[in-house]
Amino acid sequence: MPLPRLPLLDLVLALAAAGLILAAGSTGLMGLGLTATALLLTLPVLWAASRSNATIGAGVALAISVAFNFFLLPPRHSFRIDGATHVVTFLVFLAVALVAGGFAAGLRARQDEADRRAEGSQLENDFLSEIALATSRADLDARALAFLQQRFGDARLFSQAELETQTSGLAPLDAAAAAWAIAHDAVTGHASEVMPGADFRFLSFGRGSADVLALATTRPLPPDTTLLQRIAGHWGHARDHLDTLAERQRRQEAEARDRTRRALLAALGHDFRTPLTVLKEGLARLPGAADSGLPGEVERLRRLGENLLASARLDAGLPLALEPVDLVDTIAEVRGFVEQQAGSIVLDVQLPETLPLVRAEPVMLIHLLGNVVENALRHARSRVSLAATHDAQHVDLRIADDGPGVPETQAEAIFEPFVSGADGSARRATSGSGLGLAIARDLALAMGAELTLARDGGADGAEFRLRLPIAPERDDPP
Amino acid sequence: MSRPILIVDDEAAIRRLLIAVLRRGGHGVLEASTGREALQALQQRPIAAIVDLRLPDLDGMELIPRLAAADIPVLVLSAELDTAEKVAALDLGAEDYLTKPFDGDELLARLRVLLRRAGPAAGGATSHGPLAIDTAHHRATLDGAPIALTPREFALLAALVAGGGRVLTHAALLEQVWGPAHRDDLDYLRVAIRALRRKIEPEPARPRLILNEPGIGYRLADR
Repeated sequence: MPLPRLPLLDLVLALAAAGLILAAGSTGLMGLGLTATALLLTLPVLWAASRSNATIGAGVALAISVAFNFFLLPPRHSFRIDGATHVVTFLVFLAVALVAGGFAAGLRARQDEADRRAEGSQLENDFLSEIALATSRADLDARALAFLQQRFGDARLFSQAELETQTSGLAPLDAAAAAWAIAHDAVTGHASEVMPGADFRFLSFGRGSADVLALATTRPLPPDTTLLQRIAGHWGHARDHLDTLAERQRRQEAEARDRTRRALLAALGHDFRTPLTVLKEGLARLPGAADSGLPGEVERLRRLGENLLASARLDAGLPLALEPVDLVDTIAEVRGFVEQQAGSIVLDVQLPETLPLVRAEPVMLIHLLGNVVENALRHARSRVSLAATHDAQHVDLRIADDGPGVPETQAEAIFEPFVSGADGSARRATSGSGLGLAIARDLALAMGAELTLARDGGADGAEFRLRLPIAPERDDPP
Repeated sequence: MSRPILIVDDEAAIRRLLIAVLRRGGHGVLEASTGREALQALQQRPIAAIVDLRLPDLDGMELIPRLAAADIPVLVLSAELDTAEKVAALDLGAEDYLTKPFDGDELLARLRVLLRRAGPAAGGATSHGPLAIDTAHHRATLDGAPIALTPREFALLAALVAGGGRVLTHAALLEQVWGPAHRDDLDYLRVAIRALRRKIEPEPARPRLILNEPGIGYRLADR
């Protein structure tokens, strides 16, 4: 390592060497002539310049020239120079000493620069190898911090949250510099261009990062300012990379979990629907079965099973695929399976001609509306009516019956599982399991819809309102 | 002797049920309880196959393309609440699907559609029930009376009629009528179907001609 050097020692050595050469030259020892002595005297100048810098080199050159003149050039022991030859000797010596010293100092400077670069890239490489070992974001931060602490004494991480809540423990100027570094993806703080009076140097991890790296300046930081920026940049990239990996893994795990749940639900559905199919078809071929009420019971069983499956599906937390749905289709499907149980009750549907499409999961919506209509049919005396209105954002579907209605005290309880009917008790006699409305409300929630008991309908019986978000309809391209 | 219909289902009870229904409909029957048996049964040249997607050895999804490659129209039996599997089966080459619990008569009706399409007169049908399409003159008629349709509505109705009562997925209709870039633009299809229904359904709020298959697509009612 070339640094730190001791220019004073070099200076003393150079001047001592010059003294010896001058002494040898002046006493005629070893038969040194004036020219040979002058040549020899350039050596200490070169030495001093190559060990320090151009200024010191020039100073030494001047000092030795003066000493050369004083001790050797006639008349000796005076600063006068006699004779043109000696003037030329003196000037040539001075010029050679200055130029050679300059060269030597230049070489020195270039060597120093190369050393600094090598040192910087060594630091950068070491840092990269260290962070390459990181297995997680936390591991990465710990490794990088330990690395920098070992090199620079104190290195810390501050988060934007810490700065905003003033829990970073930093002095106000440092906190401001740190916040600036995050906000502007810049180098701030100590000896930088932004808030140079701060105690720490702050380095951003790159745009979008909510953290900042702080380096204490109790030990000298590398003079190469971009080196620290590059190091912070590498760290930031490594963080992004690990975040991406972690996110991908989270997603893969969630997908695997969803797949398992889907498979379980599919198996459940299969196990339920297969025997039901056999039962239904067998019943259809049984003489007299049509009048026995058995097909109606099988249909009830089917609806109950479908409700439980829908409930299990919601509990599994699987995402619902929402799409634009025409309520005409939904209502047609619901009519299809409630007609049998409607009996003498009239199902009156009044839809405006221009009803916007709604955003829903189509199968679940049929289910939801089926539950609400079945509930209305169970409590109606003679009529259930469906009507729809809409504004810019929603379609309101109102399902009203002319039954006894829902007392105020039961307004919320009827959406609880196993609560049914006017007195809030489960009434098996009227065939309500008490699950229908509870599942309908859960389905509505899962689709971003709203199912409520309407209080402003003015109907004699109960009136439910299903509020569904409108699906945007675009102009058909030509 | 007409060619038999292949039943592929691992549930013996469902096979028995299907055999009874198919015999009632006058069909011969081949039985397979596994995917491997189904592939072996192909040597007896079934005319169509009814396939449950859940099989013990081979995934029903793998069987569909192999049956389709052997020119055997496939009717899928599904017990799924999710529509994605049905759409995937249709995309793989199944001709139609039926959700459990199904009705025997409905199964026979679907088979009729399937076999009609597989028969010699199949391919680009130009009429279905009261609807007739004259592609050359861009004319559509309902019970012989011309219907005024936009070019888009005409293309959509022509696609449905060509389907001949078979379910056509949203993506397939969108691709055929609007182009491949619009496969996912379901709102176009919904709006166009609504417009079409106003022109051909006696009671547009209670559609009887163009039937919706929730989450999957549309089909024309069997004539």
